[in-house]
Amino acid sequence: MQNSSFVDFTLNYNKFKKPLFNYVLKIVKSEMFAEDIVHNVFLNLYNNLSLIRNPERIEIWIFTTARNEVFSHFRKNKNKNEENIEQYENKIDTCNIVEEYERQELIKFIEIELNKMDISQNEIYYLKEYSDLSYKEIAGILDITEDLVRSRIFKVRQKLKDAIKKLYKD
Amino acid sequence: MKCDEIKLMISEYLDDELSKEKEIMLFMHISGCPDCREEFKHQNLIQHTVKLHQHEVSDRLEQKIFNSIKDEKKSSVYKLINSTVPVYINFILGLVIVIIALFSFLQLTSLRNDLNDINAKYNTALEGIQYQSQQIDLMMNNMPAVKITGQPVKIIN
Repeated sequence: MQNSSFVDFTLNYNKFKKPLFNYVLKIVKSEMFAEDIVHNVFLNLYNNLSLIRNPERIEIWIFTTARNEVFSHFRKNKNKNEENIEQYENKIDTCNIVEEYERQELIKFIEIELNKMDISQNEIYYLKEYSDLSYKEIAGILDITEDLVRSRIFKVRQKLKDAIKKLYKD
Repeated sequence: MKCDEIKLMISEYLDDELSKEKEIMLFMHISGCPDCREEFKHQNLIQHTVKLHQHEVSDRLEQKIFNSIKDEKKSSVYKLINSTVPVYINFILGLVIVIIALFSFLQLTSLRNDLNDINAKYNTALEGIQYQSQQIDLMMNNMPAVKITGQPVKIIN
């Protein structure tokens, strides 16, 4: 019993560690806090694995828990947020030397554009791109309608594209 | 079909939310409309870039998570022994012990009372017996002397 739940956990862990970490990182914008949150989510997952009713849709559970952790983190650290953004952006500058220059520029640009947006917009976008959940599932997690999910993601994409177009023109 | 609708369909297509029939319509339009083709290319590039550029989970975090889980596993054994008993069960157990103590105390006092009763009865009975024996003594001593008739009893040594 103990062992099979551990195997279950490890499988889920390997599947979701990267998307979950990136989703949380993009929203809290601090590696340290993101690691804490991901740590808590997985520990929670391990403790509650047997209680999760619908094991096929475990990603919904994972991302909902992560989202709750993120927002409770925001509530706790309201005033500390500003400096973390700076730290994080500095980090982007220095890491990923291996990647080709142009792609690096593009991703940096996209991230800066996404950071400019309201959290209600960029959060949904990251959730979609990293988790691969359907519109319906995201709507369930965020407690909004499917159409709103569709239109918000569309709006974010349009904003990004317009910004990139502008960049290429300049 | 308007290009605005196609743009929305492109977004849905990238998210795997577009039905097969609409997909055909989308690609037919794209093949004939350079604007939408450009839109598609851009959106595809953005999605690809965002999805590709994901930070790796550090070994440090991985280790931290699995260490915590190891601790959790250990402590779960202790939990099984110690803390799986809910508070109300402990409370009930305590209550039962208190009730038993009270009950045995009451039993003890009633036993003590019984003992006192028996003691008193014994004493009165004893007094009665003593009184009777006194009476018998008196009766015996006051009896008139009786002349013993017949052969004296021979005592054989």
